[in-house]
Amino acid sequence: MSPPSSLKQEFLKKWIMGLQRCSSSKKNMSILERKKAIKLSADVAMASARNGTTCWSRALIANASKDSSDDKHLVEQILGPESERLIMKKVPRGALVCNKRIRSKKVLKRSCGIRRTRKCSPQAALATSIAKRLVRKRTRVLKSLIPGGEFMNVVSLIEETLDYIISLRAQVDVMRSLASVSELVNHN
Amino acid sequence: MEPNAGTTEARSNRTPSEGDEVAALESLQFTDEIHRLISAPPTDNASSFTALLELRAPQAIQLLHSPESAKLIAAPAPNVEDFKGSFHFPSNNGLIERAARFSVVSAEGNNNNNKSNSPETTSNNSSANLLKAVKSEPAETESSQPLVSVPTVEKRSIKRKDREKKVKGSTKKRKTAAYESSEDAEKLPYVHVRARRGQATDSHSLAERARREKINARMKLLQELVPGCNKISGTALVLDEIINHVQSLQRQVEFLSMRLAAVNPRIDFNLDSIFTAESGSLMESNFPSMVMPLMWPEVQVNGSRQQYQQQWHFDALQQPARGREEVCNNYITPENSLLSYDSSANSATLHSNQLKMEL
Repeated sequence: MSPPSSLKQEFLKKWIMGLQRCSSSKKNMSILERKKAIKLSADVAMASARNGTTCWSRALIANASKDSSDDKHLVEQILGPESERLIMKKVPRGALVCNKRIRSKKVLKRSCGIRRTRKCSPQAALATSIAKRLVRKRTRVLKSLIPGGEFMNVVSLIEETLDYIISLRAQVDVMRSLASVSELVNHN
Repeated sequence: MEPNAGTTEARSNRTPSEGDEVAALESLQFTDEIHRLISAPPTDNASSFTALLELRAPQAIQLLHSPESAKLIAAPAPNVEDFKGSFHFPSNNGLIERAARFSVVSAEGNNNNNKSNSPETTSNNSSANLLKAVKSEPAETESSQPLVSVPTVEKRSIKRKDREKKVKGSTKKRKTAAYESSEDAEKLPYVHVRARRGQATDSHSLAERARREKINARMKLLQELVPGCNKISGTALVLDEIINHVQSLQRQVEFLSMRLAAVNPRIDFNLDSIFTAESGSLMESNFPSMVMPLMWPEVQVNGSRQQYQQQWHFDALQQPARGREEVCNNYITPENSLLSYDSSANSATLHSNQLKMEL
């Protein structure tokens, strides 16, 4: 599924706005600084294109605008008037609560022991346990990849992954075309 | 037991002649049966009852689920006379079907009154439904036995039997379909979830199963989204692919931002220069010069974006930070894709004007 062009347009609009605001603040940045600013503004623009509907976008913005961080001013500039709404202060607390709940559930499960063992051959039981372990490992990796993924249960994690992949694709398409165009322009 | 056996024998004598008056008589006897069954201690004839079901629908054998019936499936079609004295329902096929349908009807009665009413009203409704169903039954029994109804019927009766099993904790008690339904009427209302064959029906496993189905549905969507995941079976491998895809996309973003930073000392890329009216001339000057040396057969002015994406996917993966020469290949395509964003016109001026307005 290719990302809808409306999403791309919105992203491009917000990104360019953010870039202009970035450049107005600082002059003569090194290449790494520039890269960082570009990437940050792109990510924030992508997240704000979702307008706070998805969890990963909120988490991304929250991470970018952590207190006492250089990026915070940048983020606030990029987001503009919406920054107050999107940087929700209550999100970290809710996430912590979720995390505690998930952890305590896991502890409870482990303490209860294995409750239901189906009547199956030992090979089948071994195979399913191996498969479950693999799936759990992969889920953990996926949670580390998606911003704010550690605080979600599996169902919402998969939904967030779907949305995140589409947004990333749109972002990559727009950035690639802009890079090519600006290189083309620069050569002439 | 004796009166029950007596009525059973009387009914089985009437087996060959199946008429409407028989059905009517038996309907009256059914309600009596039900009341007697509720009061009478149940016998352990679970095996015979399920064998009854087997008799009734040989096509639906695979739906039979209880372990006792598994034993009986191996045995050949049981003799009718063997069952005469041992259970309370007749061995007549039509009557069996009617009994099974009673259970459906009473289940539906329960479904309708599920969340709200008191048990008394549900039991009243179920008995009323039973009588109603009996009246309509004779018209249907003569017709060819519908395959579809029977499996669902059997599923429902099996499900109720499972619930019984869970509640009573033993599989020895023989239950007729009607008995079960009246039992259900006395219990608290359930949320009716269709239990599949061979699966437990306590609330925990039901909830888990619903959750698992949700997860599987979402995983299927993800498989369609990520290229190359359709052929893979198995959650772990699919998750592997998804992780790889997300990681590659994130890496692409990094490389592209590096590229953008390298291309221009100013962070806003001289956007004005890109999107001014000169871009029209830029296109014209570039396109003729670029098209000739580049053997790029797929490039079309109105080209599809999928082609570009696939090519660029490869490009991005293989040449993230290469020199300018390779980029030349993409000159035409990015212009087109930028222009075709609004998908209305292919003129750079339109797009640049749009951007200007937005900015």
